[in-house]
Amino acid sequence: MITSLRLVDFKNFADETLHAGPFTVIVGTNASGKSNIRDAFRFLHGIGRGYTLAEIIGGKYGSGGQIEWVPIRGAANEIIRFEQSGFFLEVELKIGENKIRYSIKVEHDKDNLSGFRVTEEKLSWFGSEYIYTSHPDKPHPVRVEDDETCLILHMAKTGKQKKYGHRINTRSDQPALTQIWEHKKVVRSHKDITQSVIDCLAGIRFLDPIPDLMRKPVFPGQTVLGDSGENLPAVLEEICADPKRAAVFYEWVRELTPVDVKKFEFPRDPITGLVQLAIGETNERVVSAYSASDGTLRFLAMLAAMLGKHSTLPDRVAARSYVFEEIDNGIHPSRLRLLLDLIEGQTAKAGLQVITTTHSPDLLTMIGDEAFKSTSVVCRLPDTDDSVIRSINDLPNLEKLRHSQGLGQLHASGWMEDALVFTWDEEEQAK
Amino acid sequence: MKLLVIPEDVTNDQYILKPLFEKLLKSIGKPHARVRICEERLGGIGEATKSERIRKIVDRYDGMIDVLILCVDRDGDPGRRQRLDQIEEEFSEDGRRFLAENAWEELETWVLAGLDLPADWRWADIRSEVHVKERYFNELAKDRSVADGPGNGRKDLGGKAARRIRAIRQKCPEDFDALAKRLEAIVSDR
Repeated sequence: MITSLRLVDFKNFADETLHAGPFTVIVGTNASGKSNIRDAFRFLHGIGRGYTLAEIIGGKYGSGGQIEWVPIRGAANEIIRFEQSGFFLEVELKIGENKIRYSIKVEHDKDNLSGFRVTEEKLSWFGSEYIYTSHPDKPHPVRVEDDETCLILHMAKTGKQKKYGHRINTRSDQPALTQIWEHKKVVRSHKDITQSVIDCLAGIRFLDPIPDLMRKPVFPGQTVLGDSGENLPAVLEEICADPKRAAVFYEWVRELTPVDVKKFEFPRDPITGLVQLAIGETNERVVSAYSASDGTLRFLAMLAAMLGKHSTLPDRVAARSYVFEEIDNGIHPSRLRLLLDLIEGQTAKAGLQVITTTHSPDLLTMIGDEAFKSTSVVCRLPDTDDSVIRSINDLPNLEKLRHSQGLGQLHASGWMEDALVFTWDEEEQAK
Repeated sequence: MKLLVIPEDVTNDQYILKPLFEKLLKSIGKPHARVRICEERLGGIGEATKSERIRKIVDRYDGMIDVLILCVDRDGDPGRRQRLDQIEEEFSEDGRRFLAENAWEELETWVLAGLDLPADWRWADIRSEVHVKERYFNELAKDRSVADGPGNGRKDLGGKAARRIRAIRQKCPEDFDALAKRLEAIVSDR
């Protein structure tokens, strides 16, 4: 699970930290910088996929020219805060009982084809010794300068090494995290820790369901839900094939919609063989996915994500953290409670993590105490291009106001942004 | 200085109040004052002058701000000032200053006071007009082709009027200037 993300000179954040829990909610007005946080998570996910900087920032294309990875939003140079030379991201992870911190600094490099290079990288146990670092605190006896083609990593010393661990060269156009396995000098335990971090970053998903894509028939057996909700019919067919999971699934669907769903059907197109989604009602009427509402399809995609077989998949491909944009989009306020029940239940039981933005006061009113602790507001400061991130728990009197006036009303009245601006310390701003 | 302005209807009033108060504070020596407009939708004078509604807002900002200003229309009601005085007394506590003002006869008059107006408009007529929005402001916004903009032209015209704070104070002595003088006194006390 991701427990925090620090962004330094990344897009419009000078130096801000998002604290995350199992269910993390981010609020803020339009253009406050919420999507920039999502971009930072995408950058980290791109690292987990083993991509180079050029691929993470500019997009990854397969051998046939097909796009595998959409570029980070905005022009390439806009990933770095205005007038800065580079950005730094630091993510803290809880993997099992281990707390691990990974950081990377990326700078402009006009001599590098992509225009960027990794200039610092560190992987460490939380608050203690590093596993590797490009910049050790203590000077190393053999000083070798990095050049633009490589980044030298200092590995932590292992059993037989008295003072210093190995030094290894890594390419500077790709995060070192995904190059460690290539080096014979790196001991197995370090490789295993590195792999667990890679798996965690690779396990982030960015679900932003597009109803028209979810209506499309798909090839049977494609049971991985795409970020836009692709393959929904095949994913649901796989869930419904297991009677126990199907029963749970149907219960949720019946709660959500006024339609009395008897069962989902998955007819094959006789010519193409593609599988379609159809909803069978108790009155024997069968409605195709083409007639289902956008909101229903979005909810189905979220159900598929939350109840899918992620827990039985191998670590390398299992989704652990979902990043949603406006999770309440298309959901009627009276059904938001259901959505929250689903998320809060699955994050607690299945070990999933959900990080979402929302504009919904209703959703904020309904969130539980645990989610409240992991709710942050993003706000662009007046007369600057910079945004700040604050845990709403740190806003003045909020615990009291939450009970007397309700979080939703405070959100709708712009109080969170007001409180942040009014309590923004000018010295901090000057710093 | 941190100042929260509470309008009776934030939808349109925000476009007038934010630039006017920012420029007013700048003119009295507070260029870095933080001015925010309360986005609570009070929805009219009846709700805006209810103690329980104001109390909710005051509680929200407790300890965060130096001055709260409730800004409403006078709407030709000579008794409104009396109610505003009661509100000021009720909510000025613990070192927090609570000011309340009624614009004669509507907030849009303050905007008109800062703009060049058609030659055949007499200021005395505008100042005494209860329906200044309909009779004058909307006409001007239409003439200037900004009526379809945010706040039905208030964002554009409010921003322009704010450049002439001195003129607004001069033309609106009973309300805007009176409020400005009270703010000046608070600034000099600090």
